[in-house]
Amino acid sequence: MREGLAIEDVSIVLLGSFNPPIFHPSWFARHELMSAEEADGATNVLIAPEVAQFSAAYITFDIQPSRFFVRTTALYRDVVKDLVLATLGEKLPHTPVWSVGLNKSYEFKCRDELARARLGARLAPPGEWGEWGRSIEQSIFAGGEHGGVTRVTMQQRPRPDGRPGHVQADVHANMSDRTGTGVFLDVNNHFEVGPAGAVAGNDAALHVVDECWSSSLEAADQILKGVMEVAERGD
Amino acid sequence: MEIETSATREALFVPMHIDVQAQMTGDVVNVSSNTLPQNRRVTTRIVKTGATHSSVVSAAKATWPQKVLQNWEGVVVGVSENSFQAHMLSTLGPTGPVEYFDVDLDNVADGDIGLVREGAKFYLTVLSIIPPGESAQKTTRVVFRRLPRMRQEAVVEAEREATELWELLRPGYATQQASGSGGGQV
Repeated sequence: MREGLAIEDVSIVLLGSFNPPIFHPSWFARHELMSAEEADGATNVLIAPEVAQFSAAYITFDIQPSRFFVRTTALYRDVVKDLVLATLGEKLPHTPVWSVGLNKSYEFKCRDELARARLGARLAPPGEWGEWGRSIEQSIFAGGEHGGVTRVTMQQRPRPDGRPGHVQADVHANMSDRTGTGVFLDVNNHFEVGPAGAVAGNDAALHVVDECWSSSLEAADQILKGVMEVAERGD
Repeated sequence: MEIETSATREALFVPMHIDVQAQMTGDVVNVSSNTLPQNRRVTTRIVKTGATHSSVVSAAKATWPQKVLQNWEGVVVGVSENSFQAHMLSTLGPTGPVEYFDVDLDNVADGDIGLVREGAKFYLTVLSIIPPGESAQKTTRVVFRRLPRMRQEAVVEAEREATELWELLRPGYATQQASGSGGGQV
């Protein structure tokens, strides 16, 4: 973990066809995917025909008819990979999955509010937006209330490993941070396994999860490194 | 069923994937087609109002401020009556040497005791937590991985790599073993 990093989360998103009501904490315990104590201690539990949401075993679950989402802290990064492989690969092998997202999210702090504004201006120079952008740029450095770049999204396609999909990085300000220095970076390693609705089973998708999990997280760390270098660069 | 959402970010910063939760009304859920992570800053408050189906709603558990002081990934190399031994690698800061730990079994949750065996992988975290009205307290958390079964092609790949390694160390040995003509000691 780098100095200045406040939060690191990892998550896996699967797009496919799921049956949310079965994903009750007790179902995971019955199949030994988590302990009975962890299932009993689940919080924020909502189980309904269209959604299963809860937090247990350091994992947040959100399962909807076409989306399976699990997230945990980066401290326990492989826990979600284990859970996805065991849940779908061993217990529900016929559940179709056609897209995979292997994600890592960060929050870091810039030195001060101006440094955050400068980061945005470097990633997407306001001056390139014509007169309007130049007036915004001037307001950034004039002191006082100002606007600026609030969100930048960069996408790499084709993927460097040649697999179908893309890599996407999204840098955006944490506006709830009263110090005005917080920045979020969300990195999405997206893999297309097959046409939506026309994939049988999840073997190919889980192969991607198994093979690409570590490399995707490492690639995300490299993107973070690049963004933080820009953030830490002096005037 | 009525679901209210409250975002801690200002509307300007609502990410494109927030619609997954924000558009949940009644039994209709609109799901985006991307695999982006969900907004970790969004909290959902569920208010059950005459739902026709079974909904289970529980209150959020209070969480105390906490700070991670250290985190390791470990592999169990031995188990004794009251503790287990492990090789550990720090995951915070620069990569250091492999360390040897003797971990009290008291640190392991009852439901994870069955997972403590040679070869098991786990995380060990030292945290500082601050309960309301109290001073900071150090605590240890041990999280065991529930490893999935190896996929068949992973087994085949591991066997292929092992064979290659054997061939490197003792040319011809693995081939002899496979044909049943080998033997002897390494």
